[in-house]
Amino acid sequence: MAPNLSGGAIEAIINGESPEKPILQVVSFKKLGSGNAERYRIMLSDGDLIYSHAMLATQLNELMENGKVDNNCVIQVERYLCNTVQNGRRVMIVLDVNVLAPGSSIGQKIGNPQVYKPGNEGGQQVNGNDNKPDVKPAAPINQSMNKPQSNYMNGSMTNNNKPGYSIKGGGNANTASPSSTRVHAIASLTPYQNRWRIRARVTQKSAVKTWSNSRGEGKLFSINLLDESGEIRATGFNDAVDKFYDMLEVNKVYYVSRATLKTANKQYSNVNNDYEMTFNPDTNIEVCTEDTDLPTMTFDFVSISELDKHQPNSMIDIIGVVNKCGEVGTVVGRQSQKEITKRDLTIVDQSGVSVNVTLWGSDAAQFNGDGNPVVAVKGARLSDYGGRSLSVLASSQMILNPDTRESHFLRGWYDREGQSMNFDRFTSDNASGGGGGTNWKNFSQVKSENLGQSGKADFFTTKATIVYMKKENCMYQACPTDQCNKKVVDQGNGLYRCEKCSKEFPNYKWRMILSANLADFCDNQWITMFQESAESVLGEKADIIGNMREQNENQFDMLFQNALFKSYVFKLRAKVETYNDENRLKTVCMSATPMDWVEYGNHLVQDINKLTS
Amino acid sequence: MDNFARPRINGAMLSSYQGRNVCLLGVAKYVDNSGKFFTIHTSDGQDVKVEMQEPLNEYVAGLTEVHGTVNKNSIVCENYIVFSDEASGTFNMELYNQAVELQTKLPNHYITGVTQE
Repeated sequence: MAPNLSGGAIEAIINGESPEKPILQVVSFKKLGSGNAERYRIMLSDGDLIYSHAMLATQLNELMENGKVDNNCVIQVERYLCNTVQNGRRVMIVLDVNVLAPGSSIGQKIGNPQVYKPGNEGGQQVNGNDNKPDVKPAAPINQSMNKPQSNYMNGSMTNNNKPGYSIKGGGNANTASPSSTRVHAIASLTPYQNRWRIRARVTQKSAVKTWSNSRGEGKLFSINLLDESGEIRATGFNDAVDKFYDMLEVNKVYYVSRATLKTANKQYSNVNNDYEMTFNPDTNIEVCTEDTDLPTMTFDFVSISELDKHQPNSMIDIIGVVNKCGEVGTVVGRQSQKEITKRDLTIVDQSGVSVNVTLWGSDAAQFNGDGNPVVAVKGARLSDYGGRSLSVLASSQMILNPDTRESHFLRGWYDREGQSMNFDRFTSDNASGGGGGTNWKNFSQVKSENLGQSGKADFFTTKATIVYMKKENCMYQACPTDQCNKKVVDQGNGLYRCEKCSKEFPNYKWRMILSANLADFCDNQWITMFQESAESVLGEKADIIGNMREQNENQFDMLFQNALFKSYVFKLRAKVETYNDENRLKTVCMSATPMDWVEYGNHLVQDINKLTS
Repeated sequence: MDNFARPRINGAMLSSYQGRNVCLLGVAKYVDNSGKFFTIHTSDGQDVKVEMQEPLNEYVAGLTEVHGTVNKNSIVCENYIVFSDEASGTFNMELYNQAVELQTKLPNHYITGVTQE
């Protein structure tokens, strides 16, 4: 005698309800996976519908293996839970069953069930928000699931008792499971559960990154979420970027539910969690408006003057006032050969020392230094470039004007006295006597200290006057390709060939390679200036100079004449290079900045004071 | 042996250069109607009276350098230079004052004038 099946139970489950202990028939099953990851997928019938999205919890595998559950057997599902997976499909996970009748005693399908075709049931969630107007929007109700183990946080229970916080939830459709607004601990999240909700603080938020590869293109961002139990990284792609990126703010607390959990890819994550989260179209994120005692982002700030006590390449937390905000510039990545946007900030603190902080990418592009904001950076990389400098990495977190004690102190100090102070800067180890984060040298020092002779390039800064420039061979015809500056060979037929690109072009661009003799009070030095510095010294663009040279030699001569005997602050790079077995010191100009006499004067006063104190 | 040195001074140093040739740079103001006096606002923020030997016959304002002899609290002008408006506008008086003080503090490094044999 076949037991009665719970007709309509499957439809109810599909519709997001949780009928209690339904009696169902196993129509068929299939073993998935292998080894330790074996699972059974079963098709269940309630006599009306056959539902194929059902899995047997792995602890019940034994029932399949010893044949207790077989085709056509009738089971009472004692405990189960439903996970909504992508596209709103619901997967029923059978946690505990009671076999009412073995398949052999029934031998056939009961009734005439139809195979359920997943339709558009995605919008119907267990979450009772839509039909529960009395629920505060900031606190969506998530019913607890019939999970065997309890992993709810203690802290969340006290929270439930807050006045005005509705702990009523669920709905008539869902009387089987007790409702609550319980919050799960991040540490308890696994991919095997779906009805969870966490309350966590955003400790880190990336910029939106885009990718483009053979499989298409898209964009993504990621955040780190922190609660008392641990941290997890969450990533949003494409639509999720539009939906959540702006609403998620660093240091705020959010409720997050119904994101997809998967094994963490440690390559992209610095978070200590075996799993990570991906936002899917069902994911719900809401701001938590209540007070929480969640850990806040903690900083271990290093005073700027103490930076030299830390190892280069270590990660440190820093806070300071933006004293100078540089313009957005670009550099070409050494490995990627891509152009990278950057911006240099000079930040200062009460220690009276300033340090350079470099922002990259969209951080750099979007940064607004107006009004000398306070910046706090968690996990900036310390480098010994220019003595000490800092770089805000993708993994670093930068906050503008944080609402912290240090930040307010800094603000007050800067507005009161800091803005008019002169700040010390770090200098490279080999710098002598010079301040200014730069390695100031005069030309006799360059010689006496054998700069550039050690095999590696030495960078230094000097104030000097141009006393001579070689007009001959000061420029060449170069490949017009963007990144390529190779000299082209005039084919004599109106075409110019670039050996590097193996291409011929009808045109070329002018590149400068200008030899100049610089003098300061004690010595002189031959240097080579390339495009940008040569253009700035001559005051014209290379292509205009090129035309001048060919068409108006007088004007060309004047240009050179007028550029003589002007003083600049030169950044130079000295390195011995070998040509035809002959060692020659080659000094290349990195930049030539017209004199700012006040700034240079202050620099001299500082140096003199150092020498005389 | 004449001392031709004409050191640059500021207001505070005036009293220690009694009777000596000096160079005082500052901002000219309050030109007397007679043209015989005007005031220099010095780099250290003091006002020093400048006595002309001949009445001024041009407009004196802005950044001005006066060469002359210190006589009590004023300078008897021997010569003066009025700088352009542009120079006036961009001149950093504070830095100049520091330079004046450094020259005084380190006379061995800032030798002004020559002593005739």
